[in-house]
Amino acid sequence: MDADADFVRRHLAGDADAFRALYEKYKDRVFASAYRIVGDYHDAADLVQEIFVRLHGELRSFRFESSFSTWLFRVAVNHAINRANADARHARLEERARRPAPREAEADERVRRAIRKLSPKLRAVVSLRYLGGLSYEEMAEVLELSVGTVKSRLFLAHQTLRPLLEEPVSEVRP
Amino acid sequence: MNCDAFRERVWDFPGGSLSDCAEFERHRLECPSCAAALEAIAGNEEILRQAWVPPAPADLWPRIARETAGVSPLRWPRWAVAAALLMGIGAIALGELRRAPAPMQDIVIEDVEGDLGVFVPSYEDGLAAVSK
Repeated sequence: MDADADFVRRHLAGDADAFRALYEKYKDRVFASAYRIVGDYHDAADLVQEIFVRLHGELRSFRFESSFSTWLFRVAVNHAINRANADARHARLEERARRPAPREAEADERVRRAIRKLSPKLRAVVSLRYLGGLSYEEMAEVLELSVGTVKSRLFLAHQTLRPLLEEPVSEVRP
Repeated sequence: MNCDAFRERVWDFPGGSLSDCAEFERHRLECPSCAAALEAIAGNEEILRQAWVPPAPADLWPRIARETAGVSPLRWPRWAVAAALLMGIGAIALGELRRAPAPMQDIVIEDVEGDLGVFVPSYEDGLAAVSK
């Protein structure tokens, strides 16, 4: 039996440890994806908290036809994109950019800032591919897009990222 | 192979799953724009895969546990949901029936036979009036 589905069943049957097990298994990948999409360490933490709290109540609506990880990433990425769009609408980007993760190396700070130059939708494909480690087919399922659209977005993201990732850190403004 | 086909296949190239390598390679040598795009993707992928990403903060689970404490994730069986719905509908219907007012006709007759009865002529009074 699929281990994740088993955890979900146990959670729905009242086993408190099962939800914790799901959290422990996915927390870092979900956090990394959220961090890359919203671009702020503390916002990402708040977001992942919201995602798992919501998940706790909504697991009863999980249909065991699809994989749990796909379902989880769909919830997480949609939540993160909505947050990033809301942030952009409220023009708080400059303030947010000052809150990177602790101990972030210079090169990683450059990556973070470069990714923030992408639209939330392009950030999502980049984070699912390079942090979530998802295949193109899984990304298409998570984002509810065709594989061709996923590849087009990824291509566009790379084209935008290339000059930004080549720049020295000081030239990539937040 | 044209540029569109090349850019579609470019995603199979880094993973080594590209079937028609020769055609892909030929286009790469002929088209500087596509060659540059491929090089950019390869360079980006290396940077993105090596970039450090913070792990989830250690205090995140206690925050989640605090918010979900006492919240039951239990799922009601479908038959229980259906039974509860039926019972609810039945209770509402029964309450409505009990609250239904008496027919208006009864009220009128009751009034007429009570205080106002003196103003209403009886059948015998009617006969007497006709025979006069």
